[in-house]
Amino acid sequence: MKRFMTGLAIVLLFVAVFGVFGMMAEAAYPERPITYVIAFNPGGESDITARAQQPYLEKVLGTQIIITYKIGGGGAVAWSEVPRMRPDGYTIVGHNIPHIILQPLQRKDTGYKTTDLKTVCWFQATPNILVVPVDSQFKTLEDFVKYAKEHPGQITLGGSGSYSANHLGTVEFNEAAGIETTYIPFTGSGDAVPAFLGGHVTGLMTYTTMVANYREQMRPLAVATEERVSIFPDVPTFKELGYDYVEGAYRGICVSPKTPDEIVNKLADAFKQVNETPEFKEMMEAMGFQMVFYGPEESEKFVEDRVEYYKSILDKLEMK
Amino acid sequence: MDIFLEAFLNVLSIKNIIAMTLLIPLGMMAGALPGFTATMAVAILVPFTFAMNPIMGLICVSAVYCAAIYGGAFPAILINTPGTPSSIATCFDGYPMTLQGRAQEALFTIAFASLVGGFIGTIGLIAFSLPLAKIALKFGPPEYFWVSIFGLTIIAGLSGDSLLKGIAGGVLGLLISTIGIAPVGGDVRFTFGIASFQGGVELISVLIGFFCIPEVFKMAKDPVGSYLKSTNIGHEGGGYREVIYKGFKNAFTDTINLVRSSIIGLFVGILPGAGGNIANLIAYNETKRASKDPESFGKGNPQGIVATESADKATIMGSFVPLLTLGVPGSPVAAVVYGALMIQGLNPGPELFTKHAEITYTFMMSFFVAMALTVLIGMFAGVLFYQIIMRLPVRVLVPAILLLTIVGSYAVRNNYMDVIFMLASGYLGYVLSNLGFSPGPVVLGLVLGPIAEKGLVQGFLMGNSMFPGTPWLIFFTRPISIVLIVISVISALWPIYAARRRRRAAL
Amino acid sequence: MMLNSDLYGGLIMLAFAGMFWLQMGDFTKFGLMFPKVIIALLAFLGVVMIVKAKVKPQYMKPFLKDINKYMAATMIWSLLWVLSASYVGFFVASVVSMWAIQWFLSSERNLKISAISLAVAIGSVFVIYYVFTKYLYIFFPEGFLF
Repeated sequence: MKRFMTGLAIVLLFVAVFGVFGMMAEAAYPERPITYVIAFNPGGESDITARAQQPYLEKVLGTQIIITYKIGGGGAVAWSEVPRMRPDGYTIVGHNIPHIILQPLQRKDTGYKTTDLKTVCWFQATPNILVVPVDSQFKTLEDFVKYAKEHPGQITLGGSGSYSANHLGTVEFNEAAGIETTYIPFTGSGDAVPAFLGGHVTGLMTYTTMVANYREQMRPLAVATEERVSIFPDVPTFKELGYDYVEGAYRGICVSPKTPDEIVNKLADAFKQVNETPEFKEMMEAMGFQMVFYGPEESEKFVEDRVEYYKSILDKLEMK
Repeated sequence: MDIFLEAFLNVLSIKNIIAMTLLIPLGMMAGALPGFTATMAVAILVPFTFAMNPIMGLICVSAVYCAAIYGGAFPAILINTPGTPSSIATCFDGYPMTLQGRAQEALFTIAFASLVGGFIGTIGLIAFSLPLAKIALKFGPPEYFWVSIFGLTIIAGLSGDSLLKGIAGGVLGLLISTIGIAPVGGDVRFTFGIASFQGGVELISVLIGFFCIPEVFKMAKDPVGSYLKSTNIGHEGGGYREVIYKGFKNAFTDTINLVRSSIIGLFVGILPGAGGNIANLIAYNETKRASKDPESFGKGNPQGIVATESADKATIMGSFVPLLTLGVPGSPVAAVVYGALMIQGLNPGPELFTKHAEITYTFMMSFFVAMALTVLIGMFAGVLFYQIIMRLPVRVLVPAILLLTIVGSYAVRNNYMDVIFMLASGYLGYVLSNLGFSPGPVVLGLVLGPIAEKGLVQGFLMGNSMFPGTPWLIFFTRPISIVLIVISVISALWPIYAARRRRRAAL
Repeated sequence: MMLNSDLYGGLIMLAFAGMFWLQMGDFTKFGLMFPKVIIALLAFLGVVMIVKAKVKPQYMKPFLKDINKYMAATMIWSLLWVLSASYVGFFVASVVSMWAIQWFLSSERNLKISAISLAVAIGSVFVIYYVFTKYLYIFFPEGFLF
């Protein structure tokens, strides 16, 4: 009996202590460290971005930012937990377009719906870019398309994953140019690089960040944006060259769907301020990231638009 | 030559030595904790390095990496649980040595083996980076497929009594590895309706389940007294000097083994996507195969742990070759370092050797110093670990190990599903091991499954564009593929040859 | 009574092959290519093992009879531990389970031993919990308590 009482007393003590902490936390946001969950491997684009944001965010929000990883399923494992998270804004999760749109459309047991993730903001984009090796016979996009037309199916393009911006981008480009190329998915954009350097694929449909890293080995043919990207002023857009093809991935953060608006706005403001810090902006752009910003309301609209857009592309894909 | 000397002196600055000495025990603890991998240890360290200058940051990385891989051998030897996937095969002979009361001998043996592995690895990294990286680039999807097939041919060496059960176990491992997202096609497969399974099965949680849990159950069977009953010291009267000498002799009696294993480790490490988890198994198998007495393996032959522990140390350096020469992160740890370099403003790749030669060579040199320090500290740490485990009564040891397995399998991916899966594979492993299935082949299948599948399907896609209509041709027409096929065939037929050789020897 | 290990081994392999077979849905050609072959191979090996069980079986010690009360207690408690942690939280489940397992494995059960066991349980779980959440930023499942 005595033993039991002692045990009970200890348990109660813990309850009391943690209860007090719990109440204190609700005073004003943010009162304690914020956990920033990365859904992809350390060293990837999402991780690099978060690590770069971390010190600036800490300054703006005045609290510690803890970066943790929840990896798997192309992000789905982390995102499937978002709906069940506490809506207190102390856990924020990095998320991506088109992943959060395509996964629920294409998979059965994703564990989340696109609308389950409350987007705080989209703060960054990595447009698709078509690259070939520097010693390739293709000097321009025209060469590339011409060859592809003469040799249907023989050009292989590596990219990051299936049902990714790279994958759909290849399909869209094929459609726009009336060509047929073979898309070979790799697990992550970095994973495709050895195959590219070793000459096992003709080229890559990859993100602009990759070209920033491998400038000496890659010859970019065209970039899938509306306007030219500032760090590659010489690289034409597909649109300029007459192909209606704009595609890329967006990164942002999301929180539990029931999170109060004040918290969401506060977080969005913080990320916006970080984005506008000149030092930070310069560093990210040098690495090939494009700085964009969609706040909470714009994001909702943006996601809706993209959902419709991707649905139409998926239909084309299914027909094949 | 000047640059090497300068780099070496850079590493040896007092500040750097102190930083390494402080970090190595932490890295070792991380490695010794099953489930806490070298990647995680380095990932946790990296944010702190942003505040340092790049040289010191990188030196800290190499110290933690070496220490974590080293620490992974402690639980492998002492409780039959690989602390990191790089020490899987260390269990096979390390743990039997412990059961024979030779735990300390084993702990000192790996110290010397590690030193040599680290030394050969560092030399390989410094001297042959570029040519080796060029060879590695020649490996495309079809080659990776054949590498994994070659890897599977070593099942025979890991099977125990029954080859049939070994093969079945390997195939079971391959099948379990297909849970999750298909590498090509993006299908969600075999998730049994559980969203967490989209991430696939975590190798480490299965590793813990298959190796550690059955051992804990067996331990619990006889809870009175302590778990390690006899020790080298005292029983043989020689004291530490004797044991250290034994370890030294174990490591250096078969120099060919040491060198071969280190080279295997170095090369496997260089291949992007393959790492210590594969290297240690291959090195173990090749050593067993070359031995005149293959029967003694798995029963406490020190050459087994010499092979695995020298190979996995050499993979450390090997895994940085593609990163430093080509800017390609070929392993999870290299990927973390890649991210760190980017944020430091260093562009990984050829530029590292021109613009930042001093940093790069210092980093390369630091591996050797880090490894030497790790070995030095590791000798004490090993004895300490041993003492702790020996002193704890079984009734405390059993729940304590269970606690670590739960924490470890959770910590890998912050995913509680992995813990449940860990225990489930523990029960399965218990049943299977009692039915004569060794855990080795299952784990091998699990490691090689994703590589085999990716190579197969990507190769198929490549083949389709190259030889429309007959895509499979691509697997048989590339020079390196053909070499790999020949090696695989020889390796697969080896058990038959070995059996015949033994029979002839017996006559 | 010895155990025909090939028979049970073969049945387990067949069971796995069957389980995965039933989970096969309308995957793409690429997603199916590899697992299809592996499932077939495993089923085939299972059949081979069952045939071998009839022709030339390998007998093993019946291991289930080997399980004594200590082992059984450990096996069951570890299951309860893992399953309960996601409901009552990692901390509580671990303290209780560590305490319980030590209790079951003790040869003499008195107040002193159980007090020491409790101290060991709370101490070790607390150290792990503290180090992981404070320094390594790994947060364990929380239950209705914390």
